[in-house]
Amino acid sequence: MQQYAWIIENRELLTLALDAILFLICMVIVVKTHRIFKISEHGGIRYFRNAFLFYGLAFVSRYLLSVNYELIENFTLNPLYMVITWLLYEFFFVMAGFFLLYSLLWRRFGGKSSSLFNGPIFILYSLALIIAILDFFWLGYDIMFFSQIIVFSFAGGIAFEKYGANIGGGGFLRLYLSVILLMLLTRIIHFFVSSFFEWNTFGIITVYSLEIFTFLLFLYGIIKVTRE
Amino acid sequence: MMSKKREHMQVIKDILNAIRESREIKPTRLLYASNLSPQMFKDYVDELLGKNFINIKVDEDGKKTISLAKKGNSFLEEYKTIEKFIDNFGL
Repeated sequence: MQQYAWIIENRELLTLALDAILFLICMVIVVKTHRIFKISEHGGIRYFRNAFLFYGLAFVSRYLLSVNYELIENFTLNPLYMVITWLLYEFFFVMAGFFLLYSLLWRRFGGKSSSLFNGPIFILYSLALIIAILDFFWLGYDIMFFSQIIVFSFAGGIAFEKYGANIGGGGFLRLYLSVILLMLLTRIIHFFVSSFFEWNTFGIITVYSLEIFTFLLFLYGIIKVTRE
Repeated sequence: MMSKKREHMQVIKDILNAIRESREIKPTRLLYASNLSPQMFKDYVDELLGKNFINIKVDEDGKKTISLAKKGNSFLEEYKTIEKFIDNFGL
C-alpha cells in the first residue's frame, strides 16, 4: 500500500519524468533511423521518422503544459502560455498518429518531394489544428483521443492485412502489428480515463506505462533491424 | 507477395549492381542490363541522379558514361537492412 500512496503523492513528478523518458525514446528512434533514411530517401521511412519526431515534440509540449501548474506552487497561470502549449501538444500528438498511419499508406498518394509540405499532409495539418482548437474550447482531450482511436483502428487493420499477406514470407513483423494494437489500446484507455474516470491516478500511470512499453517495443524493433 | 515498392527497390539495386560490376557503363548497355523499357529506364536514371546515387560523365564527343556515386555504393551495402526495415514496418 505504501508504494500506491507514494504514486498518488508524486503523480505530477512521475508523469513529468515519464514524459521526459518518452521524449528521449522518440529522439533515439529518429536518430537511429537517420542513416537508412539518408541512404535510401525512402518515402515510407521519411513519414515513419516524422511520426516519432512529432511524438517527441508532443511529449515535450505535454511536459511544458504540465510543468507550469503542477510543479510550481502558487503559479499564476499565464493564459497565453497555456493556450500555446495545449494547442501544440494536441497538434503534434494528432499529427504524429496521422504520420504513422500515412507511413503505411503513402504509396497510394504517390511520392512527394517534401514529407512535411504537400497536399495530403496539409489536409492532415488542418484536421489536427481543428481537433486541437475544438478540444481547447471544450476544455478536454476527448476529440483528440477519439481521433487517435479511429487512426489506430485503421492502422491496425492495415497492419493486420500486411501481416496476413506476409505470413510465411517473414516480412511484416508480428511485433509491429502488436505495437499498433497496443497503441490502440492505450488510446482507448486514455479516452476512458480522461472522459469517465476524472484522470484517475492509476489510470494515468497505466497509460504512461503502456506508452513507454509501446515506444520501447518500437525502439527494440528498429534496433533489431538496423543492427543486423 | 512482392510489393510494388519492393520491385522498385529491387530494380534500383539491380541497376546499381550493374554499374558497380562495370565500374563505368554506357547508358545503352545499362538499359539492356536493367531489362526495362526505355521510358522506365529514363525515369529510373533520373531518380538515381536526383538521389545522387549515380554520376553521368559526358566526354568530348558527347558520349555519356554512368558511374556509381558514393551514396549509391552505400545504398548497395545497406540494401538488405533497408529492405528489411521497409518490410518489417510495412512501409
